[in-house]
Amino acid sequence: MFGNMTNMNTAVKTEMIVELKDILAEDFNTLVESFIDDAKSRMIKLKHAIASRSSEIVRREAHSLKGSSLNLGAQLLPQLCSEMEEQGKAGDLTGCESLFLKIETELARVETELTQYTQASS
Amino acid sequence: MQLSASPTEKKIKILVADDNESDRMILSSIINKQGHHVLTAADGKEALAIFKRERPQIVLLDAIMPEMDGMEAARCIKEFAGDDFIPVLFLTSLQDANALADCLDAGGDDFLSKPYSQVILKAKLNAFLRMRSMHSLMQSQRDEIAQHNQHMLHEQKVAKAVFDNVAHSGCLDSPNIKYMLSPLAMFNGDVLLAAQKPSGGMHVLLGDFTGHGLPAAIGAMPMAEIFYYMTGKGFAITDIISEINMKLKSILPVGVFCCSCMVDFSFEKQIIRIWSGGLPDSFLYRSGNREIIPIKSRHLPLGILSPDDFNNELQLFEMAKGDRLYICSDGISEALNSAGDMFGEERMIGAMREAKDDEEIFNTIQSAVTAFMGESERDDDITLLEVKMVGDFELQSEHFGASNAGQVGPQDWSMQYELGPKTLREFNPLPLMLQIVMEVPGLRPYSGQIYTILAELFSNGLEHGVLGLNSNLKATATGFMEYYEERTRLLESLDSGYIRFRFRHNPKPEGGVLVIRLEDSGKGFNYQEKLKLNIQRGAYSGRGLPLVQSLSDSIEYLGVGNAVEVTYVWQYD
Repeated sequence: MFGNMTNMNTAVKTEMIVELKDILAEDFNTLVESFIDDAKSRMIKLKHAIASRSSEIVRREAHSLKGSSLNLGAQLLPQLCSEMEEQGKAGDLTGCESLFLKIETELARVETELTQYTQASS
Repeated sequence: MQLSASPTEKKIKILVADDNESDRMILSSIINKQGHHVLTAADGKEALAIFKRERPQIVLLDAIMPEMDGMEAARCIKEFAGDDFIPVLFLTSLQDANALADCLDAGGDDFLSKPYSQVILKAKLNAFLRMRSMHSLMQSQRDEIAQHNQHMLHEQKVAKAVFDNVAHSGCLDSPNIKYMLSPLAMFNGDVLLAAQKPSGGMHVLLGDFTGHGLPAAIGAMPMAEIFYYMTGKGFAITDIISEINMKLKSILPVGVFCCSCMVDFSFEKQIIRIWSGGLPDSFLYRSGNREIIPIKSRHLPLGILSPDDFNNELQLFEMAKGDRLYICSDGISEALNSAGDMFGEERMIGAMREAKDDEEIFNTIQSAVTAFMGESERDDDITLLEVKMVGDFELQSEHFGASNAGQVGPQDWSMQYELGPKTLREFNPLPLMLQIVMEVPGLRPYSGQIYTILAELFSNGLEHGVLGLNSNLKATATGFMEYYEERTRLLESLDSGYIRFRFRHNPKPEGGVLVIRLEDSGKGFNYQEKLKLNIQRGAYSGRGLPLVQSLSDSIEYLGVGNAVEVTYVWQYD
């Protein structure tokens, strides 16, 4: 299932996970946990910010999630976050609700894959 | 310095500031794996606090953080680090070029993009460690240079104090002298010397050494020493200028020399004798008709010709009381304005004519030069000297400061010293005679008067006695010049005759009695008649006799008038 080739159908790049496991060794599971905790708390903030049309907070939270998900090897999630960040920067949150839903769905996929990796390593 | 050792072998402290825990973890792990020590912070404020406490060598900052953002933190860290080079790398997933540029403007040195790569991080850390070690090497070399420079400036300051004491001293503060010295470097190559002669006249010298700084200053030392020593001992200007030339020629390297003008002021005769080599024209200003007479340099600078080739011939000018002589270094005539034109002699003369009155001439020239140059850079030393002709004994003579207390020396003695034609042609015996007489303890304060007496007796004996010159010639201004030309001519071809000095000194409880007798080989003269006439006229000719009379206790002509005896009674100061 986890080949060396990048598979755009997976939410997370396989070779990134291999490298991270090498770097973090036994801390890999903690890394995944802290990423998921952080991502969840940012999603809550993001949801409130969209509801209250606080575009600056939208920009910051989306930017942050983009950065951390990039580091975890996520493929589609950073792109979606980037779109959200741009809208926040432009101050135009039109259609953000549907973008938020896409991010939520993709984050769930990332979580699922990452959790599988933690189980595989332990 | 160990450039060969890989910088990564050295464990350093690296600060990581990021508000994402997962990002911090990844970065910390990478850095730990590379053997360095990691410090972490979750926001800019914490990062700054840790930086101040731990002084890490490299800082990795997330650009967007709560509390204090990365850019602000970078600014604070750079400011706090001061001279120390602390590389700051921004951790970023920013793609916007402007945002990246902002990070660098805030003092950032580089970026590290997400997702992090071990290979790139390692290469960047190594590059910045190399830069750090180069920077600290540069820093320590800079400090070393600053220290050397400090040391050199201190040395120069001390040397300059000595130089100023030597090169700009003597009686430059006399009321008849004005001068301006503007140093281009700390040392300028210009020398300004003035000293009163024992006879009451004055020697001044303006010298401009080639170059600036220490090399230019070195020649000034022996020059000043010879000038003051020989002037103090009563040597003539020709002897002094020859001696200085010989000294400079022997000590200065080829290509270093001194453009100079030396002037002998006789306040008693109201004449100047001037030797000028290599300097721009000097100017004689006649107060009476406001005439300005340029005086050209006739010689090569000092320190070039060997003693055999050196020419110490003087130019002679009469100067009335209140007339002024201006001597300047080429810094004045060659001073450039912003357009690159030279100030030149015409502008100098123009400034002199512009002056409202005589006292203002000096200031007018000075302001004209300053105004002319404006903002343009000085490229030479600018030295200007004004000496005013004053009346005899108008200036207070310098105090010799000698006291008779505890001094021992010859008190009861006599001597005779005879000079033949060959000696008379080329030797001035006065300094030697004065030196011998001045050995008498307590007599030094009277050296001026005694020198004057000796000089008058000697020149009378030589000119009227040995050479047979008629002093009536000197009654007119043109005759005055002729007289001196004739004197030179006769002296050069002198092959017979003599001058004989006889001295006798006897001490007294309160001082002593010095008897000076001078005999010459001349025919003598009707001295009764002459004394009477001179007292009536008081003009140019034979001023010496009444002057000697006024200085001494008695003067007596003997025989046919070819011998004269002066008695000088003195008391302890």
